[in-house]
Amino acid sequence: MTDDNRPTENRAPRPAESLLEQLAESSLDNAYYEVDRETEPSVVMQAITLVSIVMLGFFLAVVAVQSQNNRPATEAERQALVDSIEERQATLDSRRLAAASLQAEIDTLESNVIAPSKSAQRDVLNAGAQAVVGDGVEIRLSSAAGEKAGGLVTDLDVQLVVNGLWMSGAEAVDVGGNRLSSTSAIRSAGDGITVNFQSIAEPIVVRAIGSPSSLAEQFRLSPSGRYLDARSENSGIAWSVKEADEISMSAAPNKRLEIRHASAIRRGGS
Amino acid sequence: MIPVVGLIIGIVLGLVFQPSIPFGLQPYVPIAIIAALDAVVGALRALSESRFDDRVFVISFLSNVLIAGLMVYLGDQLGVGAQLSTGVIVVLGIRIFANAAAIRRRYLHA
Repeated sequence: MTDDNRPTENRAPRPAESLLEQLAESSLDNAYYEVDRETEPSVVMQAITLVSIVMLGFFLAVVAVQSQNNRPATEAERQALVDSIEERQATLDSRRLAAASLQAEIDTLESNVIAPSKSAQRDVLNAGAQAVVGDGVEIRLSSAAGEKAGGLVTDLDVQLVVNGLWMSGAEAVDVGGNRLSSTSAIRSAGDGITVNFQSIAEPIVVRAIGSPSSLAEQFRLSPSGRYLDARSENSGIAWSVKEADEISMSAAPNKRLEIRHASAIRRGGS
Repeated sequence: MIPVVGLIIGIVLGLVFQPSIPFGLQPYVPIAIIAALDAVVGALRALSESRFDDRVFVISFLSNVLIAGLMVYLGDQLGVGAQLSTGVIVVLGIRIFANAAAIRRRYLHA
């Protein structure tokens, strides 16, 4: 024992180092220091030594291989977690898409609710709030050539034409490209005629959507038609009515659609 | 030379056969290996100081493995297996380092 040979009384008390020092000093098995060097080493012990070393190598390799094999398991576990995260992410994305498309559906449904019923659609068309297309007639008015008395087309003429068209079953009317709404006025301003506060140049074209044949026929027979005939006879203004296909009209301007003072009387259930 | 060959033979055997260690023994084998490694490094130091002895090596090897395994087993039974394993590994690690340092000092004078 080497420790026994050292003078113990001179040791300084250094507890912090002493544990490590002790470990370092006793790291070699003390038995190695008291071996009887004279005896011959036995074959059995040498064999056991070899076997021990072989066993050590064997288990070293086995454990190393096993922990190496176990790593794929944890790796697989991690991969499974990653996969599940990605899967959830994909689910989330698809849910988001679904939410967006549902939102779009809600929007269209809401807009359907705002303009849902046939009657509301009809009202919109009636009010001239929407551009429309359809077959109908086209009436042209132009003033008489020369300085004939009363030879100018007046606002009254146009009003009568429009009135006659409504009477004959027109569903939508525009004058010189200005769609008539329920608040449109046709009036004279100076020498010209304005519709929806837009001046109209001659020849004045009044278009109406309705059944083309009956509209033209009825208009000719209506008081307005007869009035125009008289006007052309007496004052020389020219007018013509002809059937037209696919007349497309724009909506009346927003100013002519605004309702500021009238409010609807709601009846129960409607 | 023979021990090195033995170590290599053991490693090759382990790699070839690759037996799976029973689940119950799995906590003990790594500790036993560290303990055996301590005995081997101690033997190398003794060899370098030409005081190696087969009998001492065999006894230290076996007792190291046995005691390390027993301590881990005891720790497992007391519920402090992990801590005790750590303690055993620390002590054995220090011994391995000290012996390796002694060998290094002898051959490299550093």
